[in-house]
Amino acid sequence: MDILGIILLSLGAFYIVSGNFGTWRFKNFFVRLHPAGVTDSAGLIFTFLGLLCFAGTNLVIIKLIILLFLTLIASTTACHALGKAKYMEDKGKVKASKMD
Amino acid sequence: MIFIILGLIAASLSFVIARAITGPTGYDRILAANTFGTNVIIILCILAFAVDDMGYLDVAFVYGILNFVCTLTIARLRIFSNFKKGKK
Repeated sequence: MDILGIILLSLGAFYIVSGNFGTWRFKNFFVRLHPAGVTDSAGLIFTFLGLLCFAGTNLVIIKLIILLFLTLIASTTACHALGKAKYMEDKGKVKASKMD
Repeated sequence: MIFIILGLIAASLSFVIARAITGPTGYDRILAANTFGTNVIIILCILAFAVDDMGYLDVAFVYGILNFVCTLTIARLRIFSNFKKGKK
């Protein structure tokens, strides 16, 4: 079980590092939403599955599962809301105020 | 081994900080803040198992909820320009 946990943690760390690097490297805001989504979904799932292999008691397992689903729903919803706000401002549907 | 993974993730956070500093628009900065918050949650959960203290998981809960509320509030404020329901 420890070997499986280490493998899953390494896979999750690969996704997280590549997502963070893509956030720095990509050109456009809408393109940058993709590596942020990779970090939020794939890296989170693999890291938490790897941590579940190390979990000892039932309380820790339940806490990890609740935290996984909370972050999975919350981060993707936040990415969608940001993309929608930027899209509506680019289309001229909302009045653009100074934010930069 | 688990400390190596922890250091690798923490070192890659410098890319996110660089994007938050040099972001051309404000949306890039909010996106960098959101990604930073998710990384902090993951780092806290790995740290709980690295030092064998499960109190860090409760801190991760608070970070997750605050990160979600912060990002969604700014996005909704940008769309509706105020917090009243349905008025653009």
